[in-house]
Amino acid sequence: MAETDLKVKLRDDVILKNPVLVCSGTFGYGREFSDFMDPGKLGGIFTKAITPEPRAGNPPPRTIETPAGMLNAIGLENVGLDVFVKEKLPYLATLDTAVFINVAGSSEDDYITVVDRLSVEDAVDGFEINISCPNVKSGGIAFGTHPEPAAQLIAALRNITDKLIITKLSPNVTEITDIARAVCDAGTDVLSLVNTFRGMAIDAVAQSPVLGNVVGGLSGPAIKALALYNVYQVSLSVAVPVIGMGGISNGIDAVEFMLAGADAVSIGTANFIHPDAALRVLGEIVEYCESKRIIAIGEIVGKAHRK
Amino acid sequence: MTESINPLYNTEAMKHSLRTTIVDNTACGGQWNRLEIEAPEIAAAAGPGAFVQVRAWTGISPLLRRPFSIAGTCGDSLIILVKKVGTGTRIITALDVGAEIEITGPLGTNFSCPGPEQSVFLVAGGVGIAPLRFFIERNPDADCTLFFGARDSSELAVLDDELFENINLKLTTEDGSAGVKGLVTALLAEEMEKSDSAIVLTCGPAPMMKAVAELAAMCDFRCEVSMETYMCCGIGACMGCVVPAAGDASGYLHACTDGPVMDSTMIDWSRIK
Repeated sequence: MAETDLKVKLRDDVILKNPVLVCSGTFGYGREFSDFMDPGKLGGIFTKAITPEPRAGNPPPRTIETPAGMLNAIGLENVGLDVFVKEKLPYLATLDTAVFINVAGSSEDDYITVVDRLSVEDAVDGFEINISCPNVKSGGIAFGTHPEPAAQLIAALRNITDKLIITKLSPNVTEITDIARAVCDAGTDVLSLVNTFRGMAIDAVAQSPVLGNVVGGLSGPAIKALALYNVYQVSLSVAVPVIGMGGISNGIDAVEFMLAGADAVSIGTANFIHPDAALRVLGEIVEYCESKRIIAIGEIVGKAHRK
Repeated sequence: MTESINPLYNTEAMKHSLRTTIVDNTACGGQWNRLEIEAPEIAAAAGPGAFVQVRAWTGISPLLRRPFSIAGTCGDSLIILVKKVGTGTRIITALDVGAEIEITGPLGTNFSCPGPEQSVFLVAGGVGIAPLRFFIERNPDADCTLFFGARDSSELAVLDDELFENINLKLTTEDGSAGVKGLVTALLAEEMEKSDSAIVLTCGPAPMMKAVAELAAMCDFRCEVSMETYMCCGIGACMGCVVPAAGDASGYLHACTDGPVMDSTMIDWSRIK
């Protein structure tokens, strides 16, 4: 039989060659993984969050393993916009894959500065607007927990860029679909979800929080069922493409997210377990499609919806 | 943020991720095991100080790979010393010969090569002897003195190794059950007073390395430390494994790529507990 068509259309001018991306903060700036795999074989890359100025990040410990998952409180450590353009973007430009810049900031101006500067770069296929980092008070979550400020930020960015805008949603809200609808009305092209769930770990011997930041974001297989439900709900309530993420560690997990309504999926914590995890997931998706005689990957998107 | 500032960073070493097997697994006193893992690509590329990440289970709990300094090579195999501290290390130390294991490396920086006729003081705290053992293996003609601080005599089996036969050994135990009772830094201070110059290489608990770094600074000896932190990716992507950087009140180094081996003056020890 013919090979399954794996292409995913996010917008008429942004077509992924396959549905597997890698999550912001788990794949650095791409090059870190190049000894282990060809990042150009991915459907797309979400970069580490970029802010206008370099950020040092939170005090350690920044990570701790938890049952079937991990907490992180990195605090948006990044090289800043200028160094990113000079030292990181040239490598990403060589890759035959879609490059989406994760953008974070403390103010609307921070987001505008990054998006405006990078909109002129051919190597950039779009932006993932991070309004959901749980680890920094001024890291964007202020925009992400209520529909109005979220919509206002996305509208402002829509005004200054023609490139693809992906809005990354936080699950740490009362009603994620309200925020999803608001940012769609404001002009986001795509939604990505979920960012991490707020959590903490306590050291019983020291009788104190483990993380230097006290609170962190939970990721890994532990959150898969939670993330899956968020994707299911959101994809039922919006018309834009959805990129699903949260604890995906194999091809069947990825297929489940697509059945729940994700047009594409993103691999996060699993990159820390196997540096070629995302390509393994892709291979397993292809196997699934062949076993089910699927002609185009889009056939399974939302197939589990009960309307 | 602080990239490529460590002159020790071995950027030449190609990293490999292998699914391979355990060649040997021997208890060596205390809570430690010495494992030999077949990994010809990594053994060929590794230098003393480099580490590997290991996973020897297929499920999702434990989740992340575990980092270990390379303790040496044996033909096509790598040697690691594993202390039982949690679920992951208990699984690894219980592996049978022939068992499957996933291993990624070599990762991180190496210790400097000693100059001709340069004295080398190796200061090991417990299982921290691992990368220093690899240093001795790779520098057989170096004039090395090994200061080994153990909790008690049960931890000395690791010294039963022909590699240490011609080494000048200074031994301390915290309970006095072997060697000199007390901390290894006391013996080091005595020897440093007698010495004109030496390079100090150390690996062990953070408070020990902090004390070693302070002694080295007082005597104006070059000192390189192998830092240990919680670690996730091991390859500079996640920014999790930070060590406070000197000269920058809020800046950090990354143990996986700026280290694990760093010049002790790169670190802001006042921010390390």
